[in-house]
Amino acid sequence: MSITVENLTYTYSKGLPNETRALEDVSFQLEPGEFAAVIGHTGSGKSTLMQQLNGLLRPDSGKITVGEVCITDPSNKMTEVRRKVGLVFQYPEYQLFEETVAKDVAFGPKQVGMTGEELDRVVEESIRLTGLDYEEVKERSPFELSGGQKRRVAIAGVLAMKPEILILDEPTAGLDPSAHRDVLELIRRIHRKERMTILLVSHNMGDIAELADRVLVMNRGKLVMNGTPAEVFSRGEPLWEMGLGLPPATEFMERLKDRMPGIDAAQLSIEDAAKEICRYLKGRKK
Amino acid sequence: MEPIIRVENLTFEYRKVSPEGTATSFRAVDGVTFEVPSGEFVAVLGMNGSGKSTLAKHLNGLLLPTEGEVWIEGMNTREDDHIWNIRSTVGMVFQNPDNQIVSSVVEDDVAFGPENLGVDPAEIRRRVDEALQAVGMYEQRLKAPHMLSGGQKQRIAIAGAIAMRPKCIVFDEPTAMLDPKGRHQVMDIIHRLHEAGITVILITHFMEEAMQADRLIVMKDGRITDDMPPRDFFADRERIQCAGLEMPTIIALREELIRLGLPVDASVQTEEELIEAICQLQ
Amino acid sequence: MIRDITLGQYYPEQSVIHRLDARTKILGTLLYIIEIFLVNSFAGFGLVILALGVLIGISRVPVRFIFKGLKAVVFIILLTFVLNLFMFDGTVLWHWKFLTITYEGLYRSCFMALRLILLIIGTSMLTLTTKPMELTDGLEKLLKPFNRFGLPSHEIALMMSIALRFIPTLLEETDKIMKAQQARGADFESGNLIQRVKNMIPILIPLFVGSFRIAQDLALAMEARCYHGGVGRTRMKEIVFSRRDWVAGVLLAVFLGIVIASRWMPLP
Repeated sequence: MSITVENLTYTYSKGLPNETRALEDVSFQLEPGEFAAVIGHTGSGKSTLMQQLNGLLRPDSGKITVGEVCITDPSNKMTEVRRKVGLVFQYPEYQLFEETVAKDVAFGPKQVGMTGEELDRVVEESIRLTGLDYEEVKERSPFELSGGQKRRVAIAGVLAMKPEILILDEPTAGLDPSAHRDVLELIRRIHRKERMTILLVSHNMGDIAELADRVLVMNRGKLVMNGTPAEVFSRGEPLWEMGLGLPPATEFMERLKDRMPGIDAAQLSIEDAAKEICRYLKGRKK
Repeated sequence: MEPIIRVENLTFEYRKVSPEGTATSFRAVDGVTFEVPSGEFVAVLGMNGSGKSTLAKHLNGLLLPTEGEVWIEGMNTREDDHIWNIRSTVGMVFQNPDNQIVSSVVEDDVAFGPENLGVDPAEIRRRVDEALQAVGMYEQRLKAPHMLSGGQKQRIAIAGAIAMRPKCIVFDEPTAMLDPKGRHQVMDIIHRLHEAGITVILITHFMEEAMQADRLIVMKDGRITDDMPPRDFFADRERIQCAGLEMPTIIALREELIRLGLPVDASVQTEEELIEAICQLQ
Repeated sequence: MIRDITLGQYYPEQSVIHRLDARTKILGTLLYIIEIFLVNSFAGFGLVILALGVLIGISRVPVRFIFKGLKAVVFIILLTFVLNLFMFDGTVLWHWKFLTITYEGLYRSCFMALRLILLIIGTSMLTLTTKPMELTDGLEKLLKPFNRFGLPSHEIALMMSIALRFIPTLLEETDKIMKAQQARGADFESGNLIQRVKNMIPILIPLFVGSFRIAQDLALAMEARCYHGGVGRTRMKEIVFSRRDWVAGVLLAVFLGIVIASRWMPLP
């Protein structure tokens, strides 16, 4: 499912002393199945933008089209929009409330009208997709699970609505390295298997370099960069000025470049960085 | 010299009831022994469930051992008479910045600790101002906490601990819920506190943070698996993998270069050292 | 969105009233409420209005803020007025079918409405000129003498100040939970009353669980900072009466005297 955002503008606290232009003339387009990452300092408008995409917030002006449906058209039924565009908030485990895992995961699909066998199937599939053992957790109370498991239940709850687009706001926040890897793997799996268009909001440039096809950079409400990870992360200076970092491997290569000017610092992963260092050194030996 | 912290055979066990109703005993900490001399910067590294947070709570008597003993400056945590002394010697900063702040005004929150100790009001004022300046939040002293960022809130929590003039501060995953900027601010303060002579115990799952300590204690399944300077730990590829933790970027890069056949020394651990090592190979 | 709600309507200023000890203001407000009920004539109210006007002037709080407090109770005031208007027998001024307005009714309804309005304006002066923290500190000190009767004044005050501290946090949390559930298709707007109450469960349960989590963490943090009840605790900001409080006290006593005296005078 493609997304087209045209000239989106949004102000919050209109008329009050703390009125802020949260989004200013934001436009971009994503192809079906594309994996886009959204980065920006805290307050840059990333979360606000995500909430516009599934209709939780309405823009002052501009248009959002998901597939064939114009989300910003007021005549559109919100439940349909919310089904199409799934949004997983930060620390989603804080929204769990049902008596059992299965019931909680079923909440979303029920709200959009799924029933009976279809509902059961969708609940089971989503739970399995997140890597949890369905038989083991389905009857358990979500409150007795570990933090990492709870998070997966929350994600399953959104997946169960069968969205065409999945937005994840810092899905690895607060997780230890092992759970972090698991969630990243889960996202990769979802992207590959369901071919969903994915939007990932994150501070972790390393993760983004690894997973994203495209990077959108937000700064003070404006979309200032839109390109592939290689393109965006080659612009270290402007990113640094916006308070953003680079993937750790790229960061290292930039420092190395000060001492070895001929080297190609635009490496996104450790493997690529190592290869480039070897290549450069071999070249120098000749 | 008496070590500031002495832990002997510490075991902490509690009962877990499974969904089916069977009760089992779970050892969160299993026979841990170590000492910390005054002024040391110790990082305790481990995955979730390794027992590191449970261990931390024994260091100021929030938890008492099921077996074994914990001595803070020679005082046993089991003794009620000493508990307030112990807690003012060992301060603690927790993971969630929000849930540590008691008051709706920053400076009042920092004053909470000294107020509990019955410190003279004028002295409290002095300590609060000093603590806020030490963490760089003096300008925000009259603000309400909900107006602050995560990193700023955590700095307030640290100021609250500092105001009690502890000899040691235990940081229980202080950066886990912060963004990169907040993490940086907090680590900065931790370093400065250590330089000022305060014993620092940093509980973390971030390798990069642990590398900055004088000493590294790695925990797994309630036990200590490694207890050595970070330099020695990170020079040992197998140890890192055994601990099941994420390799810091520099170490991972070093290992990859070694794998590709470059003669990089295993003792290389920091960015500067790696850059230097690579340049030497030209 | 929810962050915009300012707590307790405190209006920051540097007036004499603002700088009065919270205890003076609390006791003054209690006295004021008693006075309002002692007044039995419009002339008496006139005195009160005069005094209130002077108070508002000194406090430098803009009049529009003062009347904001009335907005919420406009309905009750109207109801009081209307009920009293039609309920009293006496000299008939106007009637239509079964509705009769008498002179006595009109007098009473104006009287009651005015009493309500003055009550609200007077008490909102307390919250407009006193920070919430000052109020809880003041209340704690006022309640302290009752400790000997078993009243846990310190604990009550602490509970209030912690509640104040966490209200904005919980409001934000509620907002987040609402948005998260809405993203899952929850609808909080439509449906009958029973429907809507049921729809609140996905918000209330996470909120409760969240509150327990906060309480646990906070209790641990407080213990780590040596909290052990009110015994032996000092305060960084000690509240002491100053000269202006004694002056205010005298003025209040004098005014009370005047109001009591007005009851015995034959005034309209």
